[in-house]
Amino acid sequence: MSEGRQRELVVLLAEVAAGDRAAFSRLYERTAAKLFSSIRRILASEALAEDAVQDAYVRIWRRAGDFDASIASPIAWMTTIARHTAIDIVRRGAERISAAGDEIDAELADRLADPRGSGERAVAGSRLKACLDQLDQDRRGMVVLAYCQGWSREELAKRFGRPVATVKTILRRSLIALKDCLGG
Amino acid sequence: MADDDIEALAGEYVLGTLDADERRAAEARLRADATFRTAVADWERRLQPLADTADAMSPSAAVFGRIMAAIDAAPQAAATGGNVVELRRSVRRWRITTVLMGAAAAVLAAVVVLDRTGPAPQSQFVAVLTAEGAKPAFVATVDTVKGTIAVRRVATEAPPDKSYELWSIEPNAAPKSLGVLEQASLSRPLPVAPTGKATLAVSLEPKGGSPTGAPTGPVVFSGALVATEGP
Repeated sequence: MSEGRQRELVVLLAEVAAGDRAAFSRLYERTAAKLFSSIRRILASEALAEDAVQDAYVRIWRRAGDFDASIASPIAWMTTIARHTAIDIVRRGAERISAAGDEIDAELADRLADPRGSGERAVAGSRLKACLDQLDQDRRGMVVLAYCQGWSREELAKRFGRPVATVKTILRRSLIALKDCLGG
Repeated sequence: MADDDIEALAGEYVLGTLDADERRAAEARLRADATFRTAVADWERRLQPLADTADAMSPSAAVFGRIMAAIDAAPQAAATGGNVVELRRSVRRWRITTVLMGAAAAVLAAVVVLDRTGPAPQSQFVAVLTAEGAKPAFVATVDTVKGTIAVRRVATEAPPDKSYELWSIEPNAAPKSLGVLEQASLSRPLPVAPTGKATLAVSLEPKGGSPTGAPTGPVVFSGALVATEGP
């Protein structure tokens, strides 16, 4: 995302925090497709995904005052809200993409190296890919399945044949390794 | 909590692998802990390239109307209304101040002097709850042996249609209510005993306190417990 676009979203979020509906409508236009695509990977059902995107924007409206531009990226902040909303729906037992989730999306890792988009975003993608590639296959799979498809520790434990507590330890070690690899 | 623990918790929060209770506790901590907030923002940015790999897909045109209807159906939580907006703004200013000034609350707490009457060390704690570095809003003293808490409001009444509610937030746990703060001062037995690691926070709730047992409004003041005696 370009710097100008980032700045625009920061301004829109500040206006939304003050209760500006026109700004909220513009924010939605600029970001809905992006958030919806993250949600759809977690929720295969279009109807549930639309419920999730609806809940996510209600949360964004209410929490816009919490967004802190001095530390956070606006699209990344909204993406967390969207993914967490979708994960809440999945964990309520409404739906699970089991068939698609049975195999790790190997294609995904390749896309990281070739993100549509340009400049800074492509660089960030290829750096993350390089660091994910340094994790062993199971660890990489756990991180990617959790982030992209919203898998819980329990689901990962079943898929990878490890105790839940071990999965938690592995996830945390993998995250610290990623952070170190990305240079903090 | 060691740096790696904060980083791992922030990473798992963004990743989405915390369970429901852990997530709620992390969200409460986000409001009260600037270091954690920064760690989470950094993780969001690090992992965002994974979100960028998703195929673009648009929700149907009807969705935006449904969002606005949902917002209108629950207006009390919306970001409108002068007082709430003002408080939210002051929270944001406080955050920026906190980033600049570091542990402002701890510095303020250090100037509060209490009688050292407690028989056991580490049983008496004080927290100064602030919104902006320079102005304490509540001063709380906690005695974990006697099981009592005393809270004094030194600034800012809640808006007439709202109540302040006091919460104890332990690392890795959901916030626990310590009561609704209707008066300028409150002294009562502790419903739950905070450990020395707790942060106290005041949220702005509907009149009479949170209907859900968890904070529903913005956290407007917070401060960490500090022991009144050295270890």
